[in-house]
Amino acid sequence: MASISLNNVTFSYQYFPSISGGLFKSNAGLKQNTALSAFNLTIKDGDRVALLGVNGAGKSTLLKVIAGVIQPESGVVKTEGQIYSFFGRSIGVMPQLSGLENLYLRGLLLDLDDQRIEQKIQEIIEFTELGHDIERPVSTYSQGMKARLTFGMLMFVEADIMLLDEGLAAGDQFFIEKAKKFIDSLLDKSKILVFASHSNHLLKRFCNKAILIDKGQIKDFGELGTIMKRYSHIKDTKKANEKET
Amino acid sequence: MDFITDIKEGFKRRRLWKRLAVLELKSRYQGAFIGTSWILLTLILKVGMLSLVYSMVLQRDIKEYVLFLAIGVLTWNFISAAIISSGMVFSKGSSLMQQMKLPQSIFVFQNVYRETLILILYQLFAIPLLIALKGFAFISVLWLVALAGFVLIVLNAFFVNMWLGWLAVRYKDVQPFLGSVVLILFLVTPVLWPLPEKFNDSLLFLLNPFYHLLELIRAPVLNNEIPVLSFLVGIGCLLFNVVICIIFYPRVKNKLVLWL
Repeated sequence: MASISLNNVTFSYQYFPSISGGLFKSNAGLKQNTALSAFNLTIKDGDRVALLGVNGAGKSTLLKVIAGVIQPESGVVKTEGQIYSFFGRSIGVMPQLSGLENLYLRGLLLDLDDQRIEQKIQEIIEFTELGHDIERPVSTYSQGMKARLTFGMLMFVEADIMLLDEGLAAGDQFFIEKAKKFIDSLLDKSKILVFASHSNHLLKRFCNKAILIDKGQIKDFGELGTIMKRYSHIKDTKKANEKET
Repeated sequence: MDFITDIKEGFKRRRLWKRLAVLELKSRYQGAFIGTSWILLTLILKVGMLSLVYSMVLQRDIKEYVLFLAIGVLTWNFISAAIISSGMVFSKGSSLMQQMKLPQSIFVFQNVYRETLILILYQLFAIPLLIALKGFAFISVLWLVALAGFVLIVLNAFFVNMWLGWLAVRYKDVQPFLGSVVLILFLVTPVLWPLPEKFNDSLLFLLNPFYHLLELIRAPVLNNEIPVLSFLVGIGCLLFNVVICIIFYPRVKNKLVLWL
């Protein structure tokens, strides 16, 4: 059983307006930006949820709160099942190290035992078709190879809840097909996926439900198709409004 | 998660932080012809040059002085690296901490482990030097006391790393400040020069905890003494550092990621 529930969760970032602070007041001019306000959400087994929303709507913050990376100011976050969070394209990859070293570190980060890591690494090398390139430093990789490696890191997944933030860079078409099959097989075991991406193409492939977020609040939660239509409608009207003004 | 659980959980992840520490050391000397041997070589160069000059300036017997200097400098290197590196402890782990929920202590363990590896490596120079200049008869049981001293220093480094690490992330002023503070401490602490006898009771030295930390190693190895007072001071420092960590951990734990 895997589940995520958020009850009345509020979170805000604090920041300095440009360069300020200084003499005696390190807090001078500190401002707040509410990223999530009174957020309620329940996600159950088998839900593959797309997060929709314009930049700054609170998608990444929501993922970080679910992952437990940041703690909400108020409200309760409850998750059942092991979480694997994967944020950003290159975060956590150390370019001076080889692909192999990076994969091994990822395994350690997930606290897998050595035997399991070895086994997973073999699977990943085979799946990503990186072959001997896996021993080269990541800094020498092409964009496509990096995307494959990143996807390979995703394959360590042993978790019930998967949180992705722009995690899947394109790679080539052939590889995407392969990746889709993999993710499908992964999610068949009734796991939860929460995926934030601006690529409708990827969202359509991997998700069945969607959440529409705007200004830190949940606007809608339902079937992917319906929500996507609503979202593009909102975007269109926004654009139209901008043109008028 | 409370402070003790954080440390326990962090310790459990030792495969991760050991690996990270070793990779960090290796990558520091990546592409260098003699690689990590630089760690030893820089120490040897430092001790060699300083003992040539200062044995003349201070008019000391070079054989005695070089031992005094070697042990002092290698211990000081650890202490200063522990202090200076604490400014970076958490910012280096930032990409991982933003990625998943991890015990903070992982990064402190990583940092202290790396410096401890260097400290152990230093002994490859210090112990042969002692034996070469003093003969095998010089080895004594009291060296175990020095070992206990090292353990006390390393434990202190762990907790200082943690709270200085927090401070450096919260207040950006701290990090640039650390380097200069350590330099001043180096100049006022008897690292290069033995404490002149007539100042033995001077509070200027007795109140300097760093003097005591150095004596933890120097007294048993060079003078066959057990530095009781220095041990008490070292344990006092440790208690102080632990208490600071326990007091501030609850206030810091949820905010650290946001400060990074």
